[in-house]
Amino acid sequence: MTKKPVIGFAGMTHLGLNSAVAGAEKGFHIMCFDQNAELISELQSGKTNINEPDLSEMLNTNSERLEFTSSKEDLKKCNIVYISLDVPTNDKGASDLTPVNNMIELVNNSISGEALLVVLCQVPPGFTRSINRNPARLYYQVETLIFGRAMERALHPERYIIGCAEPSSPVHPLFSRFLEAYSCPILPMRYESAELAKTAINLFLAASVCTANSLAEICEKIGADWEEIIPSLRLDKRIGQHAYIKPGLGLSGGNIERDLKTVSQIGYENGAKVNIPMAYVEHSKYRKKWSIRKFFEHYDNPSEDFKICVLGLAYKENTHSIKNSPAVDLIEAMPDIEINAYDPVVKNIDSAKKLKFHNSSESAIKGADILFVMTPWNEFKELDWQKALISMRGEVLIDPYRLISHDITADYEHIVLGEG
Amino acid sequence: MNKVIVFGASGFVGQTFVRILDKENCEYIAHSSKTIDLTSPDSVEKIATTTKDGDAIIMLSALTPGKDESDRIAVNNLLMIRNIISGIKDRNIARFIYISSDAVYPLTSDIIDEETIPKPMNLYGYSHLIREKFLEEYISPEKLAILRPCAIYGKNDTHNAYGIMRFIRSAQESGDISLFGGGEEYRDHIHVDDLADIIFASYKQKTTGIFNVATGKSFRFIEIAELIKSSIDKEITISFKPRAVPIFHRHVNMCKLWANFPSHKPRLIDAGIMELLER
Repeated sequence: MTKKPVIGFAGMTHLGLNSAVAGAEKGFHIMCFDQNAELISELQSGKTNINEPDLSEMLNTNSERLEFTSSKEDLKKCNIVYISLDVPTNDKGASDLTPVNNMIELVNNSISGEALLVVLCQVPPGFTRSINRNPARLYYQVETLIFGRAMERALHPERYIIGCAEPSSPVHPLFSRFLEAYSCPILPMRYESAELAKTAINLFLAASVCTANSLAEICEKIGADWEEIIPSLRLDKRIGQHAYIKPGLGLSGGNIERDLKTVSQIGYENGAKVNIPMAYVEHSKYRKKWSIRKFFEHYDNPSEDFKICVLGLAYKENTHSIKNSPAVDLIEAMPDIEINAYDPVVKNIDSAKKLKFHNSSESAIKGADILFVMTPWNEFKELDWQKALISMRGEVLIDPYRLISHDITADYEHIVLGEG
Repeated sequence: MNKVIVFGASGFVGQTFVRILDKENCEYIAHSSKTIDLTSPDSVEKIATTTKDGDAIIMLSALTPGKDESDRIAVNNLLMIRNIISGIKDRNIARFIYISSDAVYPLTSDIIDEETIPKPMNLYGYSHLIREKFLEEYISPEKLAILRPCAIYGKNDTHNAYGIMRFIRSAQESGDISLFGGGEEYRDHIHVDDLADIIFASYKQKTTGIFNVATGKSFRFIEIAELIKSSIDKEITISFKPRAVPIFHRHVNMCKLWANFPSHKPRLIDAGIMELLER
């Protein structure tokens, strides 16, 4: 049997740390490298500010197999090194690949010629083949991290999509040994196909999200209820149980937006028609303003001390990320009024608005004229709403994800997504 | 204090806007076709003479469909904007607010917002769009606001276009409201007082960029007719005649306007009609 490889992860990002901890959980010795010595020091003491279910526990239970370092020399001990940096995007979804290129150069110059380098970042098709390294020692691997479910996904992947120089040749035995530990199908293909496969997955998700949101709005207009329709779609095998068809406030988080941008750009440069992904972007921008429209529809003759409450700032539950968060957009669109906010994880945002953070939902709700529940955190689902709403001054509840039961809102104007 | 120069001050919107300037004690010059012919080359010098550095310009002058041949309307509308730009080219104006039209948008689009790509369906719409392009070419973005109102209504409306005011007049004068087809089309209408209020707010707030000006809640023509019928204390008949053009609807996403002018939210159509008929 091939010996157990030592695995390195270069970049202790959300992706890098979760992948590294999952690797350790599978019994591999993992070298966790980051140039940020302060971050490495924190991780060495078992601490992380990344909010993911089970992450902190597994970080500590696997500490013997997790070696944290900011010295590139330590990468020499690795048989395989993953490049696990985040690829930042701008407000139009365009990627900045500079940090990834710099990290690849650093790792390429640090590891032995025999070691394997695996790009795990979201890069555009054509990127991996352009890296100056022996193609037999160079792979691309699709990551399908989901914020809020990162450990679950890292430990139990549905499949591994591996980009290779020669997909007809067997995957390197050391790499196979590592991948096979996860007991899922391994799909080798050429670099470009694997890079585009990642984008394809996100485009199908975008299609589901935008179609659901579009139809949910129709429901709002004609008195139908999208929640009633959802089960009929899930039972259709062509759509499926796990389809992304819950109504929401557009695409957020940045990754799907990035792939829409990538495909649009490739089509634009190469003369392919890409109006469909562009339409997803447009529709998402429109849908993201749903709560803003609801606010202004109810902002009539406001009192001088008019105040709103925003519960939830993260773009979705179980994450600290506010990238493209509809709650942040809502806050930024508000007029000069008092905004009382609470989120279980996000404790501050950069805003010039009259924004006051509270340490509980109840405290933030007190005296509000309009309440927004913008992130479907479990904490909000489990809140004693009957009690919490007593201290509200107004009667408008803007609750896109239906976290408050209609049973207790008869005396309120309770507005939810997808219900007319 | 610098002054406001209003072009188109004797028109339906212009008169309403000038009343706000009076009320707010603003210094202004109110130009109309009687004081200056903007289509004439002579207007350039007149504009240059009366405009000083720091002045704000509110451009409301436009020939509208129905009064002239469409090609003459378009050409004259473009001459007007060219002459104004020539007249102010050596002046460091403080603000330029241009009142355009939602006619710049395609008729077949779904809900429109400021990012909807313009595609006018007639020369009148193109003349507004090209005027906007002229201004974007010659006026710096930090000084330019473009407002694109939907159909405008109000007491002194002289246009008699198909819509609220024609329906009210016809109901009051002949007891009949005549609709094309079944009056199925959705349209948004802005009250002239609200439009004038937003123009003034844009001037005071130094707002820049493009804004659609509407209420955000469209009504079908038949709903408007029914509303008028139920609000007038006499027998009104709603009659239907063959449709001259295919049905198209217009809905406007008002997020941008609301967020930038939160204290100037336009009244909804039903409220506006009730007010008009109570006067």
